[in-house]
Amino acid sequence: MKRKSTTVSINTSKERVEAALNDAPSFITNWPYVVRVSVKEGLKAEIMMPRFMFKFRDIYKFNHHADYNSHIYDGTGERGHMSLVVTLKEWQKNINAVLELSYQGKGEFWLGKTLQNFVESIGSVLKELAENRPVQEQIQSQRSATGEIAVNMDFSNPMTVAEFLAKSRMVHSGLHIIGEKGLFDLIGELRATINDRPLYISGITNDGTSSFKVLLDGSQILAIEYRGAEGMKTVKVENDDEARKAVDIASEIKGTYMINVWVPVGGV
Amino acid sequence: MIRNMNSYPLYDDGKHKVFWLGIEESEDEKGILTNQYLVVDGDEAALIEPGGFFVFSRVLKNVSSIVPPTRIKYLMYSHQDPDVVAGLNLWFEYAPLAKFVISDLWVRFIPHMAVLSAGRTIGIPDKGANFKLGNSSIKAVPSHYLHSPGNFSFYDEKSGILFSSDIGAAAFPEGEWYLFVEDFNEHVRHMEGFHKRYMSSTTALNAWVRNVRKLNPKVIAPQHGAIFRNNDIGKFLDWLNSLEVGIDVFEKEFYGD
Repeated sequence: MKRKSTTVSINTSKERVEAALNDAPSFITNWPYVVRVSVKEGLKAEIMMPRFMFKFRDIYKFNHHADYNSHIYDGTGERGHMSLVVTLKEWQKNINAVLELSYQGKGEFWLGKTLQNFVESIGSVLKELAENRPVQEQIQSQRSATGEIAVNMDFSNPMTVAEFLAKSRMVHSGLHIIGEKGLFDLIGELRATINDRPLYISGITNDGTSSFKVLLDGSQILAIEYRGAEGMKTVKVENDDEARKAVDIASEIKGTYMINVWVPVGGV
Repeated sequence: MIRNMNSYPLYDDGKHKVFWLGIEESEDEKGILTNQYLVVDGDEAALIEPGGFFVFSRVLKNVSSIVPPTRIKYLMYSHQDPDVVAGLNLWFEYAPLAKFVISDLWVRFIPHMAVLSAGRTIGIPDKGANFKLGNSSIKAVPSHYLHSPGNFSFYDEKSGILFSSDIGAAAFPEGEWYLFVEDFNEHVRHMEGFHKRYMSSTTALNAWVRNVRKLNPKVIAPQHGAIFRNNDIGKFLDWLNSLEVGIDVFEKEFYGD
């Protein structure tokens, strides 16, 4: 039997992690390389790893058991047996989840690194699912987490923007005319109907030649990016100098833009 | 409710890669889940069937984990349905260097998405066209009236994957989802109703099958449902050939004698 383990720190409450773990069909569907799921006769999932030296592919019938701080997903396949134990530990405001994956069956002697990657990917999935539960399950503690994601957003890194948008929803979309130094008027208009502190506004001209992205906390600019005729200007505000630069960039933005406004989920 | 937020590699030779980009079901979709695909060749990428509004953040996230969205050269739309194009105004912004590729027939309707995209839209002529991506080529294959009057499939020549738009679409029963077709006879039950009602013309279907047999694809990847590989491709094309669809089936029922 091969065993591999990993630990992930999850920035949310224990209840939300438990909710993700208790929804076994959804959790297992999101494991890497799952290509088939059926809940008709118990929970069955087919896992097929691409480009492996031998065909690692099996349909597992999973049973889920839970006690006060651990969850076990026991999968019996035609060629092997897979078991994942997730143990939760509360540490300050975070939850640490320890995942141990064991596999016994066809090809187990070749699977060391693959199993390690597999359990690490499952850890990432758990983090993602727990920190990003559907809107109706949002609770107040989410706000600090999404606030932190907003603070970490850096327009020069598309992944941080994608991470933020994956945990946000669009609250406004439309064409707006921005006059000379008019971005602040637009922000004021939007603020009249949207109460959330973190606010992400993006805009693009109809010909696509100019665009901007601005991230706000209240009225304070946290980050701004402007792409115009003179190229790209990006500032992530971390001191007074950068705050001034951000305001200067915001003042340059004018014209007719298609505007999209996003807020972190649970925020509206 | 099915929700798989991961991408899955369909082809990878080191330089040329193709990914399926995850899936999620909205309550109103009734089992017709949408597939999005990314083709990467060197530094350039093409997003096939970018999808509607509610899948945007998942697709953006999966794309961003593979290539920066600024490397997307083409956003390729098979037709004008909302589940294909409704996220267009978002992609317009997040893939700022990308061109929209859609049937010439639909170019004039894009401004209704609040996007005046002159200079960024490539209208595909009815007979199709080739699009260069890195050192590879994606062919727009006519699929008109299947179901839209201006409809294209996209054939990635290097991987041999044919992105077949709504042709091959399937509605999964509740609580079931699979990425690849394994039991063709069982899968037919999930495709039949959709094809009979949504596809307009048996003549068009037969013409498409004839054309696709010449291409000899290794994989057929529809915009809804599961992916066909190996022997199932032949079975699928034979099945399409045997099918009567659209007005040929429903004329009497809808219009009377």
